[in-house]
Amino acid sequence: MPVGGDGWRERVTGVILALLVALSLALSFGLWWSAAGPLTGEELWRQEPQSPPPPEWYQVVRPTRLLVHLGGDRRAMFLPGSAGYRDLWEAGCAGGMALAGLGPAAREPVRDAEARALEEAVSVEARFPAPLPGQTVARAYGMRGNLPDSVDGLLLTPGRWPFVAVRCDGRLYPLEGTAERDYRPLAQVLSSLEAPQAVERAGGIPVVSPALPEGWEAVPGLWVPKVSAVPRLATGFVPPPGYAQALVGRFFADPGVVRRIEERDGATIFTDGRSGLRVYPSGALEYSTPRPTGTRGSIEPDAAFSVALSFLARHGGASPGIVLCECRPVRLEEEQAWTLEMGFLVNGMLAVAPGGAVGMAVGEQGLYEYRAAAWTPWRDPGGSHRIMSAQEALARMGAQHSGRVRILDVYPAYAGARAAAGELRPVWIVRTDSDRWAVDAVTGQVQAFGGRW
Amino acid sequence: MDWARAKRILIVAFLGVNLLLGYRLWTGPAAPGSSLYSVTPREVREVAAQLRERGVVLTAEIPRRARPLPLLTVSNPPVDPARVIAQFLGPEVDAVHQDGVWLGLTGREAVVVYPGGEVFYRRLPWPETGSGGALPPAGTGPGTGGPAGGGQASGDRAPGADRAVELAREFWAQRGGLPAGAELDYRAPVGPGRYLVVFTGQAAGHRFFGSRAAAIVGPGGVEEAYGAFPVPHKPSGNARPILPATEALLRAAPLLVEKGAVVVAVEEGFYSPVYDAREWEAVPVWRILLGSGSALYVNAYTGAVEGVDEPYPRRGQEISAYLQKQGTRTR
Repeated sequence: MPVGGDGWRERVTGVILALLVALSLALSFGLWWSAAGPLTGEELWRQEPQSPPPPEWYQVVRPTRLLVHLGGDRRAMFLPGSAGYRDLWEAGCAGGMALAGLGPAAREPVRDAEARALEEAVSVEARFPAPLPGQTVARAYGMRGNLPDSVDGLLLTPGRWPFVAVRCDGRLYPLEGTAERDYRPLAQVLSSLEAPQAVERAGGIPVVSPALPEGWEAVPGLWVPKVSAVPRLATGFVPPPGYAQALVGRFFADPGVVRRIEERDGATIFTDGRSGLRVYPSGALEYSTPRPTGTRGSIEPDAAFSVALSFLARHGGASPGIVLCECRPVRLEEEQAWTLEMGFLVNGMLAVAPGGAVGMAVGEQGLYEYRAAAWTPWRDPGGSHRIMSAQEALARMGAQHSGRVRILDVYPAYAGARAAAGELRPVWIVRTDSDRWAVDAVTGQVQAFGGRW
Repeated sequence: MDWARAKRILIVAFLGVNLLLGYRLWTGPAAPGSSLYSVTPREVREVAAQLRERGVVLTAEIPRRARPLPLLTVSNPPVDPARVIAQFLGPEVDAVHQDGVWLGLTGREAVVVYPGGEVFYRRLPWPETGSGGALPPAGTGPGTGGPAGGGQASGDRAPGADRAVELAREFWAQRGGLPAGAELDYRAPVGPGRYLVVFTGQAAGHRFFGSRAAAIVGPGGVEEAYGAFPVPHKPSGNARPILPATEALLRAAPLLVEKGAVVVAVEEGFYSPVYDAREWEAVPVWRILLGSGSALYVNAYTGAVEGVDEPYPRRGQEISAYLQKQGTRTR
């Protein structure tokens, strides 16, 4: 038992030892904590979620009208959703069965007299909502070679001597191929429509070549459906609680670094300091990511479309009925990029917004901008709108536009603002060689629809 | 057993172990975002050398610590532009709404109130070339506008740095006050006899660089001032690891090189621009303060440069535009 000075020394050394043990523990803990620190931001990046495959090209590069020539001056138009459209689509266009392997036969269009003869033969003509890049159409339907730069539609005449052509600016450019194609299913559907009541039963709509205001002209082959009433249509999407926050995981690789800005109008912006996502109270989205400075070069339209489809699939934007409405080159400083606009097929018509219900800008470095309405699922408010004829809509436009106007296409559609929810208006879309217009089919109000189709 | 001897041996052994552990902790590499040191002195020296080679002078001490930080929720206080203009120029001055901002002018002073509540103040006349023009002393009597005496240097002599801080503080105290909790952040000479003085808000134990009051003080007192008043609320979400300051410096290097910068301070805190929004989140940043009084804010999560202030984001161009529109030549 220590006593006196030894006892004091023992106590001091005991305290020193205890302190050293404590310090040792603290340093060990510090070293362990600093070495096994939290994961870095990059390590925390979520694994890329499994995204569904992009939709088939031909499902999105899809005609919004099928014009059937039944011989002589008998014609009818089939809109999506009708039995006739479905049968014709499946027999002729779906999967490109009637078009695969075809390529341009000549650089020159068929002569006017021949074109008239073809339109008087039994045939079906697929019309896109706007001229689309030939490359994109070719890839969608398994065609080969260089189609004209922009394609308005396709004409298939499945008679004894089948004839297929693309329509470009009103003119027909013949296609040819070496492989045998089976046009019999298409011929059978067309022959089943020859009886007068058959067209009506299959949902066919009579067409008319509209009289134009004075001084106006139209491309050859302009036929518009005689529609007098359309069902009312409203957007049905209601953002669920946590909707905006849930989107962050889809658009940002590391949601943990994303911050939020609550705008006064109820929209929420998310940004990681580089890319930004704006979510409107209606659920509509706007996403942009900066284009690397100094980007040069160009991207082909079909490559841009491929990027767009993959993006849609990955980010949940490939809603049923989505259809390509516009594919237009755009110059971004030194870079040649593309803007793509899409709409939705609903009640047999296209639902569109200025700039597209879904709009994208795609360049060499990928997608730069994405804007999407949140309209689906649709809501049926009940009832229908009585609408004015295409001819009257053109007359309303004519009252406001003097001078020469060349009409490229006229068709009925629903239109609304991309970021808004509520009822969509029935309109007649009028595409001219310089612009795109929407004439309210109820009130007759004419408004520019922005850009070229 | 000789217990005394055993203790001596243990003391020596633990001393050795502790020395080794301490050395390892001080110099060894550690994970970014750990609560202790994230970079070694050697790494700091290497980064400093890299920057020096590219023409960037570092006089600041580079923090070695990078503690995890969360986002910070902030919002704008309610803004009454007419009241702000009255505070700056006196109750008799009308607020003019033009091009989305509110303007207040007397013959000798002007104020702009921006939609998010930012305020820019300038003594007139508007200088035609930069802010280095010789400015007359601001009036203090009736009819010259403004609460009398705010931030006036006596005798038009160039104030010293301490006096400049005093004048700036006095100015803000008389014109509506500093942002809540703001403290003196830094002062920097911005020309002969002129100082930039910046007060910055505080939040969650750090500076909140988005909330600040700045003033340029010259021989005639406060010549120019800028205030942003977002209110920090609470941390948002969990604390996340942040990049070390060395990484932030390297990410900002191209901008630093471009500016031929002298880095005088590197500090972590929170930052966001002022938005005309209901509420938003400020992000942890490394603020790189330059000798010129400019500041770069580097996102401490991603390394992206979030903002550059030279020395603050609003310069009241609306005043000169308004004066030009009115056809008033003030100089």
